[in-house]
Amino acid sequence: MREFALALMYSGMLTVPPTVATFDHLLDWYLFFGVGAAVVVIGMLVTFVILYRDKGDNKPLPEHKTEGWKIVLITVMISISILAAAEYQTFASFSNIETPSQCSMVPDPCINISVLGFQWGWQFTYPNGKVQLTTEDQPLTVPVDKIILLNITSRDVFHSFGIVSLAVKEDAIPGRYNTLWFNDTNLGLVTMAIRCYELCGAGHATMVGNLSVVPYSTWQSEFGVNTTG
Amino acid sequence: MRTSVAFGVWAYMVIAVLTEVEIYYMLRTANYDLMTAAVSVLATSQATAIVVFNMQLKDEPGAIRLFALIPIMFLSALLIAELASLG
Amino acid sequence: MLYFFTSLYFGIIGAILALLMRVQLSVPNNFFLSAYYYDQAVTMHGLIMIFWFLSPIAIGLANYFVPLQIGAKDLAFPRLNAMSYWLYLSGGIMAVLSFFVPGGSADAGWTNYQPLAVLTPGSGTTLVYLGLVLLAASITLGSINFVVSIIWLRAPGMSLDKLPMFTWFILFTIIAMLFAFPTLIAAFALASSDRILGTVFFTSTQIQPSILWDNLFWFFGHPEVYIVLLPGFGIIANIVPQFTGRPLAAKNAILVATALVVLPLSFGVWMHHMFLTGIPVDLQGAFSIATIAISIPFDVITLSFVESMIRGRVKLLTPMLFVLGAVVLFIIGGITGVFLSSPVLDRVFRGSYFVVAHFHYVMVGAAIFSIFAGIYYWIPRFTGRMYNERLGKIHFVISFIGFNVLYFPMNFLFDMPRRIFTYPNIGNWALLNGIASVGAFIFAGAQTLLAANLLYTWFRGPPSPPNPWGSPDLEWKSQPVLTPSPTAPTDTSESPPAGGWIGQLATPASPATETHAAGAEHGEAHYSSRPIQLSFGAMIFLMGAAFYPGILAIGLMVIGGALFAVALGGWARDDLRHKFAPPPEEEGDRWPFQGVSKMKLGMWVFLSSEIVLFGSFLAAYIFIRGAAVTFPAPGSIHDIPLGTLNTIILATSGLTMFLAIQAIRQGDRRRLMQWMSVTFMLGSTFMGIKISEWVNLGSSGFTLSAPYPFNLAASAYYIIVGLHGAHVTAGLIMMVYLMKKTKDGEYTKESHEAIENFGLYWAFIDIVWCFIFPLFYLL
Ligand code: HEM
Ligand SMILES: [Cu+2]
Ligand SMILES: [Cu+2]
Repeated sequence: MREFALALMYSGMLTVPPTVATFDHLLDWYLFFGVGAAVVVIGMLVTFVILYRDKGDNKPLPEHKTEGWKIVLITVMISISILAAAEYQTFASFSNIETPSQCSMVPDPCINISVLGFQWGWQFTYPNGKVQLTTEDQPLTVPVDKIILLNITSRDVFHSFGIVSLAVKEDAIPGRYNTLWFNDTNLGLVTMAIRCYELCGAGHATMVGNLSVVPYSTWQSEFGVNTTG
Repeated sequence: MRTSVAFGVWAYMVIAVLTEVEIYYMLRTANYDLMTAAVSVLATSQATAIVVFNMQLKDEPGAIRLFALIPIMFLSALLIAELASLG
Repeated sequence: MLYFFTSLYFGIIGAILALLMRVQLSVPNNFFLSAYYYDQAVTMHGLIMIFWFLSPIAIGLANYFVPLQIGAKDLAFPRLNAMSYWLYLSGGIMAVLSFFVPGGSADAGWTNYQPLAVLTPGSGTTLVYLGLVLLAASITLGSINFVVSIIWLRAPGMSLDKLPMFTWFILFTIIAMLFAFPTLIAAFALASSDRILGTVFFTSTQIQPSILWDNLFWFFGHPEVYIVLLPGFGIIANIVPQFTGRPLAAKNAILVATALVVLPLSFGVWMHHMFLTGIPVDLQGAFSIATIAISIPFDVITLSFVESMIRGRVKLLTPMLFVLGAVVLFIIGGITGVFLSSPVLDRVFRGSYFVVAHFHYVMVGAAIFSIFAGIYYWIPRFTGRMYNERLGKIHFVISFIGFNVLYFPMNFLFDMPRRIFTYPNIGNWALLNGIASVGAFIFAGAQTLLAANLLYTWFRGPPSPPNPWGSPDLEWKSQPVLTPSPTAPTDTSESPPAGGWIGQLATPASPATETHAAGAEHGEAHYSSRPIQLSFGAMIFLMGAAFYPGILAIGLMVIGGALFAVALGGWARDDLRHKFAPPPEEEGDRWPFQGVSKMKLGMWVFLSSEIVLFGSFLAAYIFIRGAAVTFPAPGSIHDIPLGTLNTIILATSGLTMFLAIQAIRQGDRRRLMQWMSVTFMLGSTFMGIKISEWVNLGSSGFTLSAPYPFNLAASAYYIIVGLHGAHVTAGLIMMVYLMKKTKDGEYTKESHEAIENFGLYWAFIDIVWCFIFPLFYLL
């Protein structure tokens, strides 16, 4: 599934944003283990069915004194080690879900944007105080190659803010502020990159938004805090 | 359970609740957390006394005790984790 | 067996809703169903399938086969069983009716995420919620009955190590139910009270209501998914040896893994449904590890099933085919579950069709396929006739193919949000959804073959040999009555055929009434009609509550309440007249509960679920206190001296109740009467003071419509203390009944079980108050 999500959204040769790289790397591990385990175990099942099917002969069956717990023990040990390895990889990928340490430095190099979910749309508040609602031609606009820190909440009901092409998603919950970060390394406009992933009423299906990634200078002049003034 | 024990449990119940209230008046402004802890301990001890003596759990086969212990175990997990989930 | 057919009926309703959804989603930008109808369909499909189809169908099988497997005549408490069935049906009626009220049915997803679900207008959602509460009550009663039966009614020699696997897994399921469902009651009771009374548990955004709901719902919800699965695994484990000709591999490992890991840990993984709610990263890590840990026992089980074929002789008959199908699908579903257990991967999968694929592989693939296996396996025992093997095999093949065509594409829809009623034509969504919709019709179509085979077997099937599979289990040692006459009504889902299974449903009651009823024309004579009256009374009352306010609502509540009261009084009268004398207790294998009477065991199991019920309410309250930034200061609202006095009164009533028990232990009925009266008076005084407190609080403005945070404090206080008060009141009513019986000269030194058990209940009420008092008055 590597780059599959990306290929879906973009065209042309692109660089891989860090959250996507981490996600894809982890997914590769899980696919390797998961598909491998499925193939092996289902393979075993099919083999046994063929090997030991009722052939119509009435040869007496061998005794099963120990009921075959040894082979169960061995295969379970193998699967435990696989699970442990997979879990280890997950922990190694926690950078995706932790707020990057840079964002608590002074001066803060991260771009902070507030996201407010409502029935049915998203509202973004940029560093310079500009407030925009999602519409066809008002995407979430972020600068390229910067760590973006979204501060997400909701005005009414439970929503979930997700940009699957960047492998990030976080719930928008009334009375609660959740954060997520990403760093998009590709310029351009991605239509319907943002979606709501929790049923929030009749407009849930249309709670979409576009994502626009622009050069830093362009972004700074429109949404950034004016540091020279 | 002998009748004297029953009176003992009852006396403990009364003393414990009075102590709770006393602690509350003493500590509610001075040290709210300590007050919470002390009152919780007292309440739990009251409950334990009733379960052990009035409900005679101490005389029942061990398996019955599981019916009291298991739910308490699960509920503790719920309590700890739900408070942790507040962030 | 009524259970079984009723659940099939609900299954059909759920399936129709599913097909409607698949039609809507078959092509992009479709408007066959609007969002309004789609959301109801998606919600009620989930609720009906999980609560009114999957669990009950397993319970239906268990109802019939567990007593047979343990060598008992019936379940421990027949009337409780009837009560459980009628409550289940009443809840289901409310859920289905909800489609026809203005505003439609519940539409916030089966998970009912808050605050969306409490904000949905109309009484449909409330009907569904109260229906769920009835269902949960039904399940709790059923669990008590099953736990006691399996522990207490085993025939002599049926020691635990000989217990058939199906019964074992039903025991596991039931234990999970016992501890999980009270939380569901608590969650939906809180939500219903928000909807009906205007409490603010889930509408007040200052206390993070969504997180409160998630915790309560998933604390119940994760055990629930195992509740759905485990009976299926029991069927597999039970029947595999008959088709492989060898014992189950590592059978004891399966039992130990399930009892000691799956059950306890199933209450410790729920936050994997909350990875995205902003809980601390460490907590995500901890619950990720717990989730991985709980998949290990499932490895043991699956690998044991697979390896149980080694050096056996595998007979690929229909039940075995469904077993193999279930195992394959469980492997796929389980592995996708492991993907979801990673909080990092969950950032993409959560809320998408990947999750939909995951849980349908386990819930439909593993659970339903194995239940089908069980149906084919047991139908000879049930009807005395053999099903059609070829039709069964075709049913399997088409189901298996249809299932995978339906759900496998969803694994690739990991970027498509679930529960959207329509979607634009982007990427491969249209293609994958189209395939899935085709699969849905194949899969649903295949089930007509099951129906055909069942009907065929029932009426025309060739007589089956007494033990067609060569099973060692007890159920095959007794013989079914061959279902007679092809002229019996064919509408199996609703009207019972004469004779047939009517004897099995509800209450065979005591041998005495059985003979008395033998000549009667109507099946009804077999069982007490009180459970139906009670359930329908409760249903009508709750329907009224759902429509509240309004004249119709009040009317319904009055009628329902009256019916309930009459039925309750009637029940008590029946008892006073010994209409249903309990059968004499027989010898049996009861380890590890020797020496505990059936009633006392039942009481403890009941109290166990009560602990979870009150625990869940109090946990909700503690969460609210933790989340609320402002809360009325202790002492500012409640009268502490009065509360203290009341606490002491209740504690004293505990002492007098003990003295009452002590009296009857010595055979002194007069002193029993005296101490009971004192207890009753103390209990009434407690309630009296309670009521006067409420009146004062209400008139001083401490109401649900007070400004924040007083409305919040009032919500919690009135609901939780009210629940305790209701328990005290119920205790007082029971006391009246016990005193009446004492006056009739009922209890003796040797026989006064009821008094002892009431003592347990009364002590429990006192314990709950030990926590309520400090929590609400002091902290
Ligand atoms: C190896 C075992 C399993 C693991 C590791 C596992 C893991 C998970 C995880 C992590 C989720 C949350 C996904 C999300 O919402 O983002 C989930 C969802 C779910 N699982 Fe499993 N699961 C397993 C087995 C099962 C079984 C046996 C069942 C039921 C029979 C089941 C039923 C469900 C359901 C119904 C949901 C979705 C609930 C919803 O959001 O509507 N799972 N599972
Ligand atoms: Cu939304
Ligand atoms: Cu779960």
